[in-house]
Amino acid sequence: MKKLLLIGTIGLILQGCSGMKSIPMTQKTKDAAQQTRTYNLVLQDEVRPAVNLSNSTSGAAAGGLVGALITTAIDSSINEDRAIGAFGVAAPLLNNTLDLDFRKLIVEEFNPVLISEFNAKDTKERAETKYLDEDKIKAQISTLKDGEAALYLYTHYQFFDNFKVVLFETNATLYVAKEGKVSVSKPDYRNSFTYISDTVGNGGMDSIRLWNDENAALYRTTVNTALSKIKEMLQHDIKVAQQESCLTGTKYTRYNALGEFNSVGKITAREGKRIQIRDNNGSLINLADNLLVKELPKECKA
Amino acid sequence: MKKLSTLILPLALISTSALAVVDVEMKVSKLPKKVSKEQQEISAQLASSNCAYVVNPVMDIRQNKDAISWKVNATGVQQWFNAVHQDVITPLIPTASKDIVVEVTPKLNMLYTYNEQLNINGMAVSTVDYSINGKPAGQYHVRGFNSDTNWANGDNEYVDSAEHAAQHLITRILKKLPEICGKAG
Repeated sequence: MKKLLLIGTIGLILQGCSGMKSIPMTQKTKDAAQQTRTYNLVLQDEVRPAVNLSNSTSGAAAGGLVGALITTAIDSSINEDRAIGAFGVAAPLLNNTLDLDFRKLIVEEFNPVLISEFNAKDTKERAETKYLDEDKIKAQISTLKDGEAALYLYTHYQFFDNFKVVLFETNATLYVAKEGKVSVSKPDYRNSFTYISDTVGNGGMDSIRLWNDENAALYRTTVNTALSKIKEMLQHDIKVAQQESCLTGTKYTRYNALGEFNSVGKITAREGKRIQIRDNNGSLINLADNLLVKELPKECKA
Repeated sequence: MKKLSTLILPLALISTSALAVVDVEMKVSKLPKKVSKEQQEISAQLASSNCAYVVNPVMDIRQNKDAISWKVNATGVQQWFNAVHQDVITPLIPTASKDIVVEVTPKLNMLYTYNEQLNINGMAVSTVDYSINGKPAGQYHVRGFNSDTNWANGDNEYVDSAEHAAQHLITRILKKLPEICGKAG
């Protein structure tokens, strides 16, 4: 069963489960990171469609290994049909945006911040494509000298809620060499930044049509806005993470690889109908206010 | 939902911590019977249509040739398409000469795989330029998709899923030919 769970969920972290605890930036860390090496990773070649996955594997545990294996086979087959269906729905948009170079757009947006805030000297023209395992990161950070840091960024993006919303998430992890010491298990700063688009259309083909109209103008604009907002959240986070407070918790809806779920956080900014929330786990999320489950607390209203 | 996340996240973390991107050669494997049968049916359609066909080998113009997933890269992709062109596609194309000649030149834009729950999904994306009697006549997009159960998370499972997606792509490129011929007539 453990093996099945492992296999079934091996990509969850990469797909953005935001399970990592955030570590706030401190002035001490900022001062110590005088020059930063960067690794800006985007694994996807294009946006991932929304799929309503069959999710009965957890329940299969009660049926023992055989039950789990049978459920796995059934789930896998159901998921295959759903994935094919999802790509069928998304194909017009995906084909129409083959020219959209997400890896180039993200570095164009992020590089100025990496240079100005982290004093990065090694920024690239396109995001990286290769996942680095812990051993490789360990080997890289072991060569850091005092005053040097390494920043690892990983971004993924996917449609949710039957193509009504598209979500972008960037995870940032910083290691700084201090007095010759740096450990892969103890980053000096870590957080995730999420942009959830406005809700578009009634789902399925209707939403894809709206995203895709006029050479996918809405989708292209959303990609640019998302990257810009994530960049702003990163900038904001490394400046104010420790001072920020908005006392009352607010429930809101968000998404991850397992689907839709409610989370709790504090509203830190508002611009029109869009709000920025610092989740209780420390991560920053930019979303439309229709995803709020609970009324805004007075002290958090704009 | 939260309960499930709590249970599986630490396991997923453990599993990802010991893995790196490795190169695996994409070798031509035997076509599944279902695919082979479908391609034979397309071949019969091509023979009975009003056009002659020239299908050029798929050109690998991918921007990302470094990784087909977070775990694996497939090497020898162009060689795979060349071999399939010679051994699978060419025998399917009728040789009789006809007044209308449809020529297609497919380019491979993307080849990738990804994990989705208990599956490894594969996607191959192609842009196909076509001409009629030597004159450029248009372009279309074709996608090959595959979804296999992820049994052991083996490197070869990712490359196999990519290969199956590429096989599906080839079938769909061929399937489109009679439609182009219909427009040309």
